[in-house]
Amino acid sequence: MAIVATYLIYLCISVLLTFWVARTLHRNGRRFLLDVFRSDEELADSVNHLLVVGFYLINFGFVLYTLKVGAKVLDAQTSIEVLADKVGGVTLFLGLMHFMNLYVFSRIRRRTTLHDAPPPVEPSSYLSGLSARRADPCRA
Amino acid sequence: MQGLTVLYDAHCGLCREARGWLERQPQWVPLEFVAAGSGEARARFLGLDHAETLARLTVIGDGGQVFQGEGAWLTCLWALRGYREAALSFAEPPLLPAFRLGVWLVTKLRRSEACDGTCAA
Repeated sequence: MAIVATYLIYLCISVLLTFWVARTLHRNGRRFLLDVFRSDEELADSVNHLLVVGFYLINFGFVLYTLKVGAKVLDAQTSIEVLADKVGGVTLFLGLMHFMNLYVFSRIRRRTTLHDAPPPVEPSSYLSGLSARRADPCRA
Repeated sequence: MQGLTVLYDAHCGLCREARGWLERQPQWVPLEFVAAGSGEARARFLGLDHAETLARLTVIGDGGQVFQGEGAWLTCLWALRGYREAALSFAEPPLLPAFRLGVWLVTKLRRSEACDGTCAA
């Protein structure tokens, strides 16, 4: 019976932790994505939602995959030790996933700022009347 | 900037190689190549010193911006998707001297090897 209780407590803690991290990611990631997608709210929300769904899938997968306890759980002490071991693993994994998400965000953002960056040097001079002549024949 | 015209020396093997390499890279700003000192270049860019464009790489923005020498090299790299980050770092003091040295070496190399004296301004 103790093992069933341990499993249930493990599942409760892991699911709550996952929800909490996913909500934090969802709430704070939105602002970031809005900046990346130049205030296109619909696109930012859509990408945010997709990221959170992926986050849930991977985390719940991990939680379920590592559910099985090898040791015999007969008393409260073993139960707490097993719980600490399992929940510790889930927390570390969540942390890892969270930082990976941040990394993905910053990569996307870096790409956008790079795309908008002006040339690194000032022109040495300007030619006048260029755009008027180039506007017509073959540059449509 | 929506487009850049690169005036390259069509009589120099190294410059043609460089043009081919630039053309093959994914570009954020489309690059167009015109032989430096050619009839087309002279017709399109009236106020430009065309003898100078044979000696130094020249890049012209669609708004009439003229970049020459190392500025032109940096602007070419900046136009490429995979090299913009590098171009921005090369333009900053820690790496700028090394970049200048690289450009100087390439200029020397192309003059002695491929240009047969046609590059002398």
